[in-house]
Order: sequence, then C-alpha cells, then structure tokens
Amino acid sequence: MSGTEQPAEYSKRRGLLLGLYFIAMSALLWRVIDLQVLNNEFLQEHGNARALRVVEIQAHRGIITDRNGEPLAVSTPVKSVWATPRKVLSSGHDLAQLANYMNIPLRELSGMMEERIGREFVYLKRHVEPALAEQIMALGIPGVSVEQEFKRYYPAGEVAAHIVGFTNIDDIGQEGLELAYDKWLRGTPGSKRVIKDRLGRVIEDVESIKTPSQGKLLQLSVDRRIQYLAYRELKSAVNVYGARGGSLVMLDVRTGEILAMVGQPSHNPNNRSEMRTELFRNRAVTDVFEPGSTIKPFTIVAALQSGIYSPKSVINTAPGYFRVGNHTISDHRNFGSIDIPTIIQKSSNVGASKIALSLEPEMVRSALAHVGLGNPTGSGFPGESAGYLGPGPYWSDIEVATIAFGYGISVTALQLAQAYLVLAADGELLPPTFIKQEFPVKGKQVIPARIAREIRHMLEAVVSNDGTGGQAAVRGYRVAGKTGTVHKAVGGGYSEDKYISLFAGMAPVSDPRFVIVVSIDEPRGEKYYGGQIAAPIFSTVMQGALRLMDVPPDDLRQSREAPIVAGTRGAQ
Amino acid sequence: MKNLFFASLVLAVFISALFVVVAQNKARVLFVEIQELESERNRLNEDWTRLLLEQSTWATDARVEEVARGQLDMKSPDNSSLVVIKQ
Repeated sequence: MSGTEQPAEYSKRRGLLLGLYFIAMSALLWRVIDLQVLNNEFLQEHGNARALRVVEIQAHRGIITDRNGEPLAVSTPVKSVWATPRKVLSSGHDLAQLANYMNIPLRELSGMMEERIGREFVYLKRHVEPALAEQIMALGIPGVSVEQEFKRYYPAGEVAAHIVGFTNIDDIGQEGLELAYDKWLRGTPGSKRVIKDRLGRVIEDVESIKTPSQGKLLQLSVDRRIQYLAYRELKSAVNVYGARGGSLVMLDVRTGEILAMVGQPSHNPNNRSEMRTELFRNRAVTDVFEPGSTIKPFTIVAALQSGIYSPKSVINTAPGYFRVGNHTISDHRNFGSIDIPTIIQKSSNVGASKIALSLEPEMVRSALAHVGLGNPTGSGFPGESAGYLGPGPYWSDIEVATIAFGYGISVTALQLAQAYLVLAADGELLPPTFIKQEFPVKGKQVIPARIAREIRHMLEAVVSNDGTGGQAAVRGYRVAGKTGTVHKAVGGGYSEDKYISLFAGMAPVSDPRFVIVVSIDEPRGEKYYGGQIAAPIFSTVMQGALRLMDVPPDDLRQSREAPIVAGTRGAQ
Repeated sequence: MKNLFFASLVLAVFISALFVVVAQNKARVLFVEIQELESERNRLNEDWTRLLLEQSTWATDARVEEVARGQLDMKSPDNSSLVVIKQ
C-alpha cells in the first residue's frame, strides 16, 4: 500500500466535516453574542433579581430625656416574628413547638395560617424578646422569619406619662410630646444593596443606596425629680380627698420652662392593655376651669394700672354683699372698709367687683388678655386649650363684676401658671416651653415692673396666718400666692357642693424662681377650700423644688422653726 | 507617529481600566468594613439602651425613696438641724 495516493474523494468528506464544525461553532458564537450582547441587559437584570436585594437599614427613634439627661423614653431593639403562610403550610413542618413558643393553641395558629394563605407577610408575634426569637428561628420552619423592630420604653412610667405621651406599635407618636415632636424624634430608614444566597442570607454588602438618619435626641425642660415629687404629692392628695382628678404645673420664672406637669388620674404608658383614652388627657393643658379668686390679683393689676387706685386705696365692702342687676355678689363675712392688700389677703369678692366696676369697662379684660388668658400659651402641646375670655372688647356690668373674681371665664392650669409667672417675672410674659432652654429668655413686658412687685407683696400677705393661704408657707423662704375655691358650673348654674380647689403661687418672693399652680377637681369631704387642699401640696412641692434646685433661703427671720444661721448658733 | 499615539491611548485605556477594577474592589472592601463597624456600633447601641433602661429602672425615684426611707432608715433633715451658711 502506498501512502502517496491519498484518495481524492476524502477532501469532500473533510470539507463536510469542517463545514459542520463551522456551523456548530457559528451556532455557539451566535449564542455567545446573543447572551453577552443582545440579551445582556435582560439576563443581567434577572440574574441580579435572583441574588441582589435592596434591604432597609433601620433607624431608631430618638431618646427623650429630662433636663438632666435622665431618660424618659427609650427605643430598644426587639424582634418580630413573621411568616409566609403558604410556605409554612406546604412544608408540612410540625407547628406544635412554634405554637408553644407563641403561647397560643396549635389549632388557632394553623387556623390563622390557613385563613391568610394568600398573603406573603403575616406577623406571628410582634415585639418578642431576642432570646425567644432565636429559639423560634432554631426550629428551622421554612417561611418563618424574624425582623428587627423597636419597642419604646418609658422608664418614668406613670410619672411623666401625660407630658411624654406614647407611640403606637409601629413607633409613631400618638399623644403628648411623642406626637408633637414626632418628626424630630423619628429616624428615616436608609437602604443598601446586598447579595443574598438561595436561603436569603446576606452574603455580601454591595453598596450603600441611602444612609439612614437616626432619630434625634429630645431634651425636655422637665426635671424628673421634681416631676416625681409633684406626682407623688398630687396623687396622694387626690386619693386622700377622694377627688375626681387634679393637676399641677410648675414653671421656671427665668425661662418659662415647664419643670413639672402632672395630672391625675394617670396611666402607665408601658402597659398598653391598661390604656383607656380618658386617662391620656393632659389635664393641665386640655382641661379648663373657672379660675375663681386666683384671678383677683389681675383685677388689682388693672386697678393699679388705671392710676385711680393705689395699694393704699380703701374700699368699703360692707355689708358683705351687694347687688349688680339681678345678681348678688357676696363675701364669706362682712369685712367692712378694707384696703386693696386686704382684699387680696381676705379674698373679698365684693371688693374686687366694686373695683372692677369702677374702671373703664375694657380694662379688666385687657389686663387678663395681656397675661395670656384666652389664648393658647404656644407651648405646642397637642390638644392645648385656649380657655375662654368671652367676646370683647366690652363686657356688661354683671360680666365685669363676676369676672373680677374669676367667674365667667375659663383657663387651663398652664395658662394660670403663665399669668402668675408674669407677676413673678416683674411683668414679663414668657411663653411656657417643654424644651430645655440653654439661655435666659427675654419676655415681653406686659405689666409695669413696679406694679408686679406691689402685687407680689400683697400675695405674700396671703401666705400668712391672717391670710387664706397660710398652709402654702415654706420654712426659710418667702412665699407669695393666692387661693381659689371655685363652685363648679353644672347644667344651668353653679353647684352648691362641687368645688375646684386652687392655689397659684411663687417663691422665693425676693427673687422668684418658680411658679406652681395646683388644682384639685371635686374634693369630697369636709375640706374643700383651696387654702386647705391645694396650698399644702404647693408647699411640699415648692419646698422640694427649692432644695433640689439649690435656691438659697431668703427668709432667715429668727424663730424657733426657722433654720439656724451659721455663726448665730452660739448666741442662742 | 500616528500609530504610536494610538498605541499609547490603547495602553492608557487599559491601565485606567485596571485602576477602575482596583478602585471598585477597594470600595467594596471598605464598604464591607464600614458595614461591619456599623453593625458593631448598632450592637453596642443596643447594649447601651438596654443598660440605660436597666439603670433608670433601678434609679426610679420611687424606688430610691423606698430604699432610702425603708431599708436605710434615712429622712430629710428637719429645720432644727439645718444650718445655713451666709456668704
């Protein structure tokens, strides 16, 4: 056999083979172009859709603290367990253990799953302890997952419940300052792209899409220690006197900061099951009452501003009553001819009415409006009431006569505190605020400083054994204030046996630092005067606040009960 | 001359492509690192809020008062035992 004679017909075969190879390669090449070039985008997208995920980066809600940084509301991470019912049921996994962890009967759990089988996302249990969530995940049931959420805790509980308010289960403010400052407190979640594996675990972080912004800290003006003291005193008084409720507001005279604000009855914001809407109300800013005798100092302000009266002016209140139109205005007894400080000290309705009637008709009204009555205080608290000052500018005689001692208008406890702050701050009106102020606040001069000081001295005489508010005294400090005992308005008239007991006052008189307003709603029992019920609460809270805030005593008159001044001890 | 210019451009493109790869990789590594640090920070934050809550629960005024008065038998001084030092 000779190799030189290769058969010519094989070249055809070779051509065929090469042709087939070429076709096969072209097909492959086309496929490559098809995948890599023509359909690249589509395929890339689908590939990514199976592995790349955008996940949310959670942002927590800001902390609320008191003025010293003590926490009043804190968000802490908790886990929520959720499931895709279809996956869970089709896996055929035993759910008994899961039901056990969730503390519900198995029947109920599987019933719920079947009911919601069309849904992709069903919460099984929200806000569980991280340890429990881990146990549930350890069961390895397909379709059951855990996500992180935040739960809001209120360490001060009931004590600051009305001010702070609360959030709902989705961490959105519902009441109080949680609602008012919701935008400030709330964080905005960010997002990032990650690569996940078949089981949904994050393999790799790819890129950041949006950085989350965390909720911001909110520092309140409230002092948790004073708040607690006020809460304790008010609660015990409301219990002892069987009152329907009560409220207390304390303001810092220099800044208008609200140092304490409590209301009774209250609620524990950590316990959602006990919540009843009627307990949410922050009485000190939402509930209005007729201020009664506590308004008399402002009637006297109007009198002194008119120039007709001076503190030495004498009014004849005999015989202890007088008639305006069809109405009789009366005092507890006949005080006879008394000067203006005595009208305040003894709380004479007749004296206040007679003075008011002798003034220009709009003067009393403008004096009240100037100290902020009839307008919201601007504290920004949700649901704040504006009170009621009646349509102006002129009032009828009977209106002027009754408003002179605080009937026919209505105020909130916060408004009354703001009005007394004007007297304490030498005539400056400061808007009350819930937020800590770093610098002294300059108010608006609404009463001449001289008149404010004169009124303060008259109010100091109230807090004495001869006045109606002797029980408001604080040892070592000069205290000024005014009592009020108001008949409650009931359908068509005034109740004979339902009262509101009030005390509004300030200390120390030489340089006032704090204003406190106490109101007790319908005390039951023999005692109902403001001087008997509200004044002692004022005294206790004021005493504690003066000590806590390191205010030096300004009344060191020597008496057996007064504090001993260093250096004089040996002489005694 | 023209060819040389063209060749250097190709080379420049090639080198910059390499840099892009390097930069991308670096960015990823850094991003992973920042994610780790952030999750570390979150974990510490969680601990902190838990401790904060625990501390403020122990330091509730009501509890402090109860311990002071009940267990430690403390009381606030009455005025006869107060001495005010005038400056």
